[in-house]
Amino acid sequence: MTTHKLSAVEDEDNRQGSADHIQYVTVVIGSQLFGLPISQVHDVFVPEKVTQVPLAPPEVEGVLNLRGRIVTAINMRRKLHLKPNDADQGMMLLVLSTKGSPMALLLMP
Amino acid sequence: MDDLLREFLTETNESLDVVDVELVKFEQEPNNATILDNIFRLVHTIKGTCGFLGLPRLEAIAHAAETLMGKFRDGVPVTHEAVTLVLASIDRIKDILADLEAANGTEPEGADRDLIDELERLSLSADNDDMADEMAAAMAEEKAAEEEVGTDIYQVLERPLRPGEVSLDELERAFQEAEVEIEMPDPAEDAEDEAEAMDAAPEAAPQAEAPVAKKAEAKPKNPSAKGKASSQGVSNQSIRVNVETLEHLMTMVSELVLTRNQLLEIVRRHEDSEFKVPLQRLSNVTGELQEGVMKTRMQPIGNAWQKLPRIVRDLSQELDKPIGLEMIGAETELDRQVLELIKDPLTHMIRNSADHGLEEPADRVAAGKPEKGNITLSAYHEGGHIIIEVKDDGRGLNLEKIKEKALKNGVTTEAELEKMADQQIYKFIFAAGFSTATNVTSVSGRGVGMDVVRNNVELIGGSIDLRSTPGKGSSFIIKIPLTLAIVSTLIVEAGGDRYAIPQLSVVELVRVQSNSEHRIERLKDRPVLRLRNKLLPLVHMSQLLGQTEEADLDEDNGFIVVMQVGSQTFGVVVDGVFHTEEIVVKPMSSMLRNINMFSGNTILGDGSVIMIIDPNGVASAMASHASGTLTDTFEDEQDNEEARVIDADAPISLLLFRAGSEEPKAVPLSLVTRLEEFDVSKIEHSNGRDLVQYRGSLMPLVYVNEGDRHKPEGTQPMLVFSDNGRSMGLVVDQIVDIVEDRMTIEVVSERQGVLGSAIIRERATEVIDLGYYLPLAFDDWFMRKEIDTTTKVRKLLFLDDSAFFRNMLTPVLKAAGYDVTVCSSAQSAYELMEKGTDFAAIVTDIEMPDISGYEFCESLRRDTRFRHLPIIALSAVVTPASIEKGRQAGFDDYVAKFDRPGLLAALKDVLTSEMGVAA
Repeated sequence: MTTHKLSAVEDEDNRQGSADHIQYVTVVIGSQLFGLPISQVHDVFVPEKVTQVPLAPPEVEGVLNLRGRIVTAINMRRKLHLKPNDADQGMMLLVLSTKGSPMALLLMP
Repeated sequence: MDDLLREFLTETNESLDVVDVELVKFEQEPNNATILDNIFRLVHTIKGTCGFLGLPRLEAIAHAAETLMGKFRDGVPVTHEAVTLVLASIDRIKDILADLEAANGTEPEGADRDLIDELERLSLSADNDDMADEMAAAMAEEKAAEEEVGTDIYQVLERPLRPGEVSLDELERAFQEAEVEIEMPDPAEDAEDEAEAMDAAPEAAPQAEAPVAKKAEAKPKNPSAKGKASSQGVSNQSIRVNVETLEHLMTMVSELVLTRNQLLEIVRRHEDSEFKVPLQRLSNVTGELQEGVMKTRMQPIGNAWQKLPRIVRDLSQELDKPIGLEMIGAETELDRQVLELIKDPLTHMIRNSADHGLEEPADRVAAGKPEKGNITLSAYHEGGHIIIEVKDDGRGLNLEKIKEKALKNGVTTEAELEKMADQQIYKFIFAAGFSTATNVTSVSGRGVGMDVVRNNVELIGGSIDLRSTPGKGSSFIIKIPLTLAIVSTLIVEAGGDRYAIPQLSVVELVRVQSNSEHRIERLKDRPVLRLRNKLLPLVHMSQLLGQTEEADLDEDNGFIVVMQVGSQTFGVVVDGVFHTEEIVVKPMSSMLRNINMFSGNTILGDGSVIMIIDPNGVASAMASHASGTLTDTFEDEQDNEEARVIDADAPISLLLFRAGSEEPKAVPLSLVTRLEEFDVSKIEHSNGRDLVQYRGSLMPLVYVNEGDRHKPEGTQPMLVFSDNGRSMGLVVDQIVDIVEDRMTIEVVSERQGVLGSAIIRERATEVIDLGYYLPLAFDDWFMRKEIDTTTKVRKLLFLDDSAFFRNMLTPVLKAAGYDVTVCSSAQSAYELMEKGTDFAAIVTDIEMPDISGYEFCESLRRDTRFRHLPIIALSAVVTPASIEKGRQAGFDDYVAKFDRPGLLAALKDVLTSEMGVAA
């Protein structure tokens, strides 16, 4: 089982990213590699307590408290229609800042 | 955006709104010089400011409007056409301002010739009518003079004014303001001056410009002064604050409240802490700060109503119906956010009232109403909410049409319609796509209105209700919470998670236990709670959340949160109740927003996130889920028109058991408190009786047959009957079953303890008489301790067509000390009373064949002899409707059939008051 891998693909001394280089955070979900533009990734951490939301769409894992803000967590495996993984370890939460409220992607290897 | 521009936009928009209102007022009171002056000054100021900022297009329109207003000031008669035109120009200015704002300060291209021409034409015609030939001659002369000079300058503006230029009117005004009389200056002189002015930008221009500029300059510097002047006499000490600043303050205060809650939570866990006292103080201060900041966001609802007089006026013209708008309670304050959200719904409802509600003037007169239709808007505070009512005195809602439309749209079926009360049918107008208007007018009729209104109202946590009387009018009542942000909630637990329920919708909490007086009963297989003689439909929270199926519920223990939404009352069963907490409502994220059940979420003092239940969501779930069947049940029970004898014929729950013999025996389940099985070792013997210790007190055991004894070993089943804290155990051999069947006692028994035999589940079953057994346990079972020791024995007439109830209640009444005479029909009762027997009171059943209890009572009341005779109604049906009907029929009280203590209490009440009167 692959453990969770997160890494930022960076250009050597280019922190901001110039016009032709975009930085990504790479994640592995179900043995597939994905990338997310770093400018939109706000937070990465191990989730503690996720409150379930009854009657929510199936990919919504729940909501959680992120420094006083309520953030919705989406189970990426369910969203991508992958088989659910029973293992509780290796869960990671990636918080994206979007135009509206922040959204969190729940990642499981 | 440039600060100056921003200020300009704010101020001018406000002024324009005021002009709107004033113009409508002016139209109705054309002789009111004050209003006219106000308008004139406002328009003039707008024009000046526009000129100062270099906005020629706006200036031109304002100017033309001002000219026309000037004519009115001069005494020209006001016409509808003129006012409409001025209003149209105000609208145009607003549009341009909007574009200006979007374009960040650049005036949109265009010249409003159409408007300006019209305005000028009206001004001119006014001039023509009013002034003497002198003016005409002067003008003609002028024209000649101009033609001489060669420039095409006439009093009417051929092209938009350029900044820096002074129009002839301006000059004229300068002259007029210098002189008292309105005099036509020497035309020749005029032409000369004009020529001078037009050729270059000479002295006159800068001179005239200067006063204009000065005036315009003065405006931005003194916003508050101007504000005072144009605020129509409302002199408040006020300052302008940016809305964003206030929002920020509000957010900070909310966070402060949250943090305070967290601290309180922590301190709560420590018994003694030096933090407690300062924290208490902090809590108080925070609370006050919260209130204070909330107040800053409060605005009088009159602000939302400002545009309405104009809208009503326009509607009135468009629809050709005279309509009057009355506004009561404009100073009622509410939260700014809420204000914004109700503006549109209100406008829509007013449109509806004007378009659909109010009839054509001819129809109104024919119906005896005043020709002018009336719409009344009122607002007032009530218990944490603000109530807004939109009422019209039109034709009311058309029930038939609504039914038709509902069927056509497929929102309901014929069968369901039959069962609905008028009130429920009216509510269909809130369905999407609903409009009974035969024509779609530009005003309304497209059918997208009322559902959006309701949606908007519910979004802010409010509710909308409606009332209508055909021919008299309709009224819509909106109830909205005073504030949105911080809400007092009750924290409950269901299905392992916690939820918050807003306190405002919680009426009370009931603890449910299967042997207490509050039990979850089943009516047609739906759980209900009998609370103070009202039946409350129930639903378990986990059901609402889609977590469990109905069958899995433990109905013996739990808490019921009684909630009320609008006129609906219902109970939600939860597993546990924690405490109340003030929480900050955080809106749901966009993907969760459409879940009806939740109105938001929040972070509790301990950092966990919980959902906030939306009472409206629960109410709609209830409406579709349970109450449909409940209304069914009620309808069935209320069906006394067909003189259906309900009691004896309807199936009731019976407990079948064996005691002493093989034949089954039965007792109505509703009389049984609990079924128990005791280990025989627990049965004690004292004072010649068998007893058992039960829930902290001694419970005597009674045997069905003389000489029966309990089993020597093992467990003994028994039926427990409780009343008033005392219990009796009826020892049985075996509990057989609980069935639902009709109980018609066929063979009446002479034996004590048995009412008779009935066929239950196709077997002859003995129905036992509890009335016999209960006093065996306690002599004074049926006695009430407080009964007066009056020696006078009062005669009671007890009327019931069901033998079972006669048999069951007669001993109760007798034991309470009354001399009871029993009748089985109203007819026989009449006969008895005719014979002259003097009864102190009458207790009668309602559901009887031939003559019902209502009719019986009504006819007695009509008779002078019995008008003041206490009559109490006894019924299996206790609903507000039936109680009301009872009251109208003339009953003194209305009691449920199985409520023995209630009956005795009612009798006592009604007789003591009688005695009191007599004494």
